[in-house]
Amino acid sequence: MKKRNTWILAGVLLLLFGAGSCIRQLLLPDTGSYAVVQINGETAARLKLSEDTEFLAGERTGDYNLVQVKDGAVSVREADCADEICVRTGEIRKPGEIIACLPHGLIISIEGEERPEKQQEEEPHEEG
Amino acid sequence: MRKDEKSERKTAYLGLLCAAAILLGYVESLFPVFASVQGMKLGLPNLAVVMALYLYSWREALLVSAVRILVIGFLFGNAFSIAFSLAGGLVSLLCMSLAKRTGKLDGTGVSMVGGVAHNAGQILVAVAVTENIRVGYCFFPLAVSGLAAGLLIGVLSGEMVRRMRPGR
Repeated sequence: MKKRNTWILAGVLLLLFGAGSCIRQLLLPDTGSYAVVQINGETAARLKLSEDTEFLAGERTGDYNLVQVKDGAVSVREADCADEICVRTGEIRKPGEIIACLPHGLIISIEGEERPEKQQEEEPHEEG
Repeated sequence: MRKDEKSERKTAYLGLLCAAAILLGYVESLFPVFASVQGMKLGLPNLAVVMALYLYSWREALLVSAVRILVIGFLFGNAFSIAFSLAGGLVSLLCMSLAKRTGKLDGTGVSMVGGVAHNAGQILVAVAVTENIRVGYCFFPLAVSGLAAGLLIGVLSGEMVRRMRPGR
């Protein structure tokens, strides 16, 4: 009886999370064209994936994450956070993929084509 | 069996479980980070936590969980990773002991609940830390892996507990 309950629950949860994953996948754009760098919920930079560039994130908060865009992929090259999970994550290029540096509250995600009305307000602050 | 003999046995078992959890944490720290779904882990140290929960009670499981998080944290991590692990570990253990108390699930099911709850707790902390709801959407693919990991840990710990019931 208990065993049956376990498998029922496993099935229900799997369906739920599987459906959630699928919906998440469907809502994502097919191709990514921007890498969005957010620190504590605020957008720090919006980097075009088509242009190779580097961006020093966290100057305002006193943190250090060197973000690099190269050949259409974005990665964190260097960081002064304790675990360097952001560096070890490596390159991301598809929508839905993220690089997280939780100690710095930093998230890098891939977004699709920018809506025209928003394009003006957030110009990428390029550096390096 | 005499009562003090039983408590001696328990102390020894708990020490063993803590040591096993710490060792498993080290083994797991050798694995690379999976880039596809960040945060995906097998949660091997939780094997010892689930075993403590089933051999004894949630108190002993809490002890093993806290000891392993602090020791692994000080050895291989930092203050942030300790806080992050504690969030996952505590939510996971809370949900597991509640699931166990309902008496409707077997050990495998309880462990599965723990795996998913671990993901949920950590995603909540990640959303709070980054103030970015986007991170929350990662819960779904992560929870699928947490479900599978929890099932595996549950089956393993069930087999282990069956073979080493104390006082036998």
